[in-house]
Amino acid sequence: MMQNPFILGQSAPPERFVGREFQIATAFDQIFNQGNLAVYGGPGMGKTSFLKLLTSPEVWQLQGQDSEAAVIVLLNCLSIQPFKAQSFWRSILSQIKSKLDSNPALQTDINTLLNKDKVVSGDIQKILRKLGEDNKFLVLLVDDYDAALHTNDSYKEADIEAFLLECRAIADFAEESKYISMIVASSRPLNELGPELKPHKSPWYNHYAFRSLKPFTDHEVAALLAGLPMPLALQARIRELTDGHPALLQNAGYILYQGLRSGRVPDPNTFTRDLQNATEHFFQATWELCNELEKILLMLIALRNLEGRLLNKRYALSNIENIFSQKEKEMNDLETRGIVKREEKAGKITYSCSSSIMEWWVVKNIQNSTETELQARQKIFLNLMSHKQAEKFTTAIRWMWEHKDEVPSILEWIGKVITALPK
Amino acid sequence: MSIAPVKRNPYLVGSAISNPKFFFGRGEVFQFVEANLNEGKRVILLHGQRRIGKSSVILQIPNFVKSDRFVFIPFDLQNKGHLALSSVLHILAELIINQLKLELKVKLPSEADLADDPSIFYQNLLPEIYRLLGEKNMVLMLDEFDVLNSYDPTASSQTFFPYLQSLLNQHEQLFIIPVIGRRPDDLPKLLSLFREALTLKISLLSSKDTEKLITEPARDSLEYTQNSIQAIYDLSKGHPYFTQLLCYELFAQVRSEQKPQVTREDVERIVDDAIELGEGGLAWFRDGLPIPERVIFSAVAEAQEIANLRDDQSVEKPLEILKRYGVVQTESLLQAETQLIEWEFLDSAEGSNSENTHGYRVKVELVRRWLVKQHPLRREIWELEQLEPAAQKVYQSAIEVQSYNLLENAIQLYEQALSINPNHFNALFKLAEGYQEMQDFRKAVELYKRAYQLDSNRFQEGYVQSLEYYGTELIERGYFELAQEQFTPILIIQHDHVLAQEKLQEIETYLLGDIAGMKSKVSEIKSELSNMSYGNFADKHLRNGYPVEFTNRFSSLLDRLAMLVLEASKKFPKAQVDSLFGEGKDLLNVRIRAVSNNKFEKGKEALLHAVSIIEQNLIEYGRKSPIQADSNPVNQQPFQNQSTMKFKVNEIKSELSNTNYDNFAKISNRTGRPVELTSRFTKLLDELDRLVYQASNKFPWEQVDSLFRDGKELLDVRKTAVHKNNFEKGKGILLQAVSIIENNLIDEERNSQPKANQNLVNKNATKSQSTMIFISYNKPQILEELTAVFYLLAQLASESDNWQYKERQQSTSLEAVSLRIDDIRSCSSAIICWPPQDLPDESINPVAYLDLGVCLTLFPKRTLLIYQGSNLPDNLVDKVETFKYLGGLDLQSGMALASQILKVLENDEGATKRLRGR
Repeated sequence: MMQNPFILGQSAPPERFVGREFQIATAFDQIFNQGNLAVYGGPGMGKTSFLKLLTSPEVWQLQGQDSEAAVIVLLNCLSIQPFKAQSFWRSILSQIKSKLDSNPALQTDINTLLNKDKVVSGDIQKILRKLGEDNKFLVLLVDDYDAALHTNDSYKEADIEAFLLECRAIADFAEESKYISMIVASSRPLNELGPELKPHKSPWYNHYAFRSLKPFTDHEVAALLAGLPMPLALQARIRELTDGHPALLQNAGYILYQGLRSGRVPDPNTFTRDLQNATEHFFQATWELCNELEKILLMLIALRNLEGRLLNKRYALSNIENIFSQKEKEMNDLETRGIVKREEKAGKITYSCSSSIMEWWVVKNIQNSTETELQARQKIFLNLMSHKQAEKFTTAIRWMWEHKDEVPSILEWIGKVITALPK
Repeated sequence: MSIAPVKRNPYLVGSAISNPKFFFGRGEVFQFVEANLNEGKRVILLHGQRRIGKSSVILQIPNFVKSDRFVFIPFDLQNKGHLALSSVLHILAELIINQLKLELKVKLPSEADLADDPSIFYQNLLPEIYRLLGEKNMVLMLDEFDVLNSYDPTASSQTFFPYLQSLLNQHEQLFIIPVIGRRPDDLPKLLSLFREALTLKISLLSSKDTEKLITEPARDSLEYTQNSIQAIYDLSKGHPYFTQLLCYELFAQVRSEQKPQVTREDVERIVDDAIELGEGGLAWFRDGLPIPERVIFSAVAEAQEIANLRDDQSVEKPLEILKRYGVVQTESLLQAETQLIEWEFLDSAEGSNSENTHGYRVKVELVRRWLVKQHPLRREIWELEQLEPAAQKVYQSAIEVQSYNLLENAIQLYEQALSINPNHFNALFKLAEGYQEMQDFRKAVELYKRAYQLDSNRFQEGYVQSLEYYGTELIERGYFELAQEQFTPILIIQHDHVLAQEKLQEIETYLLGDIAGMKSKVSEIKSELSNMSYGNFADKHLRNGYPVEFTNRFSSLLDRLAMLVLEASKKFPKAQVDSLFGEGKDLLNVRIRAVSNNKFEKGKEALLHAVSIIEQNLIEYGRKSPIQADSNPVNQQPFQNQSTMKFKVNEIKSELSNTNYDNFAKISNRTGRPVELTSRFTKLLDELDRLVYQASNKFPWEQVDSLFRDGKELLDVRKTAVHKNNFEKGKGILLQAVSIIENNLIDEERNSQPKANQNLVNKNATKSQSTMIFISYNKPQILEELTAVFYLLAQLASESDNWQYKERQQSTSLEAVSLRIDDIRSCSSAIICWPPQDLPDESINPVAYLDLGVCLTLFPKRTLLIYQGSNLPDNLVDKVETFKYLGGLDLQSGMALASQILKVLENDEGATKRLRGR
């Protein structure tokens, strides 16, 4: 039996990686120049798959590069618990060592360093120099860099700043920086994470080129779905349902493929339920990564659009468009991150969640919110809107608590896909 | 599948350029460095704005400075500001040894050695290095030198500079090239240490060098059209980082599309992607600036964006656009503007020829586009709130105070926060809400207006509501024009606001009706007055005998005219028709003296003049009406001239003094629930409010408004019952506010040129002019007797031809009090009849006191007090000329009074001595 070409619940291995040619080329441009790159994108956008891809000798070959010249280390910051700078350096050293079977002398040197109580960034510099002497260089791929930018019990504000300066020294201005190329992946652009820059303080990220991982283009979607024999109409619906979000696409594809392969016409209810179960954690994670203001903007979008789906007008949100226009930058950010999409019709701008499942999820999230959460949000409501608007908003939320049954089911939300399913 | 070799991107983003093949321009910098090193100049300071390519220049100095006499050591200080000196020296020593690959005879000192004895660095190590270098000198190139200019006293920042200076003094073979990211002027301390330093600014690349930087790196694989090169230059202005950024992105895009040529359109379409790619560098471009500069930076970007959208060449000035966003101009914002220009972040905008009207442009267009996208002004201005930590502290305590329901105290604190930082917007918002709640709608409107500019969505509701409340209040108080100014903007914001529409309709109807009514009165009075002749104006016998009575017809005409004048002086205070009316009326006063034909014509003329002034004003008014929507209420105050204000001050002062605990509010309030102020007191407060409003615009430093608020609050029975103590306290505070206004008005008058009213006094004091005598009497009987005495005087003294009279009974009406004071002002002498003690109404006494007090203030020597029997209060003896009246004047006592009057009237204020000497 043929393997399902879609991937459920994990990152894509290099051989099944699709798209992102442009970003890959940039990564190799930076590697070639011993430059640095920061890629960012929301949950399920394919950051981990992207970094994994860069470890593949075949990809290096396709890019006309020799992977033998590089020592490639892929490190996920979440694997260091709790995150600490010295554990980070130690982990890198161990990995370098494991890739240097051809150079036992250097392995011995690394062992000496590893046997110290504390591994510091200076130790990495020493090894980089030796790699350089051996005509090699380090490609350091760091996943979930966010973890290095947040404090924990043993990693304080000052530790973060010190760590980031060390990274910058190694990757940018130290003599040894010509023997390393650092590529980090995070949920948001680095300037929105980590310590804020201040005048007269050294910047910690200006040596990175930035590239975002956005939802797939039509071309990439088509390439991904090529493995699934399905009518074009359905393909279009799935694109609409997921808005090109790679992980959602993979999930939808996987479920459909399972059904179609066994010759069964997918049952709308089962399809929806399976998809919802498989993807819920992406929405949860996307939600968690939003700040409070963004969460409220999402709630407003969802409520506004729910208003139109209800049989009778149950609540009225006035002048929401004014709120959105005052928060243009935030709306743009949400749009850039592929969470929200904007449509302009006859000069009127409307927003909706990029994925209709996400919008439904936000509605469910509002329904499941508590009075305490609502109270905690009042202050932000008032920073965003007038008292009257806040009141209406609150009323709408309360209405939803009391009328859970009136909210349309997910089937209706994603109805168009269902109708496109082959009969 | 055959694999086409992927062309690697030859441009760089983020890193300094170490490969000389990819480095272009800066010839003048290398020449400068080379020439001066060769001349033995040992300190060369390079400076330039961030991301301009200073680090790349340092990396390239060894490649482009052709001299065998020097070795170069690049040393980056950027992560070393917090290290101890010994640690920095250790790193530096290690760097020199590694870089120059030297085999030392001495041991490389450890960090601990250097901490024990920093002298080993220059006594042992450096000499050893020089020995190995032979004839060559060592040049330390110190990148991010200004990082050491921090404030941590224990770090190397404090010790490294002096140490370096002493090294230079002792070691002739040592040269340094410090590089800083700020202007040398910003680092006076550093400069004082290296006084003999030569400095050179690293600035933008020339267009020729920029072109090389664009075309050379990809010469083999990519062709740029001339237009595309210009387009890149227009975006980057020769800034090397941004040029690289654009080219990097262009290369990547064109490569993926397999195009051989870059066109202008390509440049335009990749800008957004280039901005994303360069976010790391762009962010630092702004984050490295202090807050006011960030705000100005975004303001200029926004102003240009607006100009671009309008296709307009003239760009609004940043402070102007900030004002429209509700930001108050502060010193730091002004300075920021200058700083950004000096730093070459901004350029003057072309397209306008006048120095004072032009705005600016962001030097690098790419940066501008990024600012508009990532740091829109609307969001950026919020940073201003962080400027004054003290304001934030006060604001926090205000929030806390308010949480205990102490709104009034909180308001004071919010005011304080706002005075520390006028751009503490949250304090502004809280204050607007606070005043709204306190029903100080005038203030609420003012503050909400700014809040609305800051966030039109969030504060639309509050702003509209405050306008609504204030407008309604103004209508109730009879200020229709001002009310109109409140309701009009509501309709601009909410076209379908029903209440505003109704109110505006109401106001218009009233104003039009009002004007129409006045107009018809004017024409009626005018025609009647014109038809009046000497023959029919008073009883015939008056003109050759005793003055007694007006004809009924004329006195009714005068009454109607008086009403009209009163109305007109409220509406057009500037016209001063009231004084004109007063003059005319006095000329025609037959009750005091016979009026000759000549005087009748003069008086009639004056009255007609007054009427025609009113007529003119009504016509003008009709033209202006309705009042424009955006006229500023602050400039349109009800009583604009000094005398009207003074008049009001006196009126309010006397009425307030006369208000006592028993008549200020309804009695039940003081024992039970707070309900209502008496309408009289409410009216008084409203009048005072209006006065205070104007005074606080005129004399803002006196802060009478806050005094007024304090006093008013104490007396607010709508909130809580007011006890006698609090009443007295509140009254005292209000009186204090009034007297502050009074003093300021007097000061102002002293400092200004003599005004119309003063002229009147002075004019009358000179003999050739007519003399106006104020007569204050208690009973008609005494006035009759006085009239007889004047008649007598008319026979005896020729100067009495020039006398005119203003006779006023000591009435109980308080409303008359204010008018009285104005009357007295228009006179230059007075006769006051002191009321007998047995009068039934005691309130007359204060009026007599008031008259006397005012007269003694204005013309003490020209005031005569007539008293009966023993009713002269002791405290007045010797203070004023007096005449003892025994009731029923006979010829003898009449003559005595006449001569006393003559005597007093002869006194001019400076001529007392002359009189006494006689």
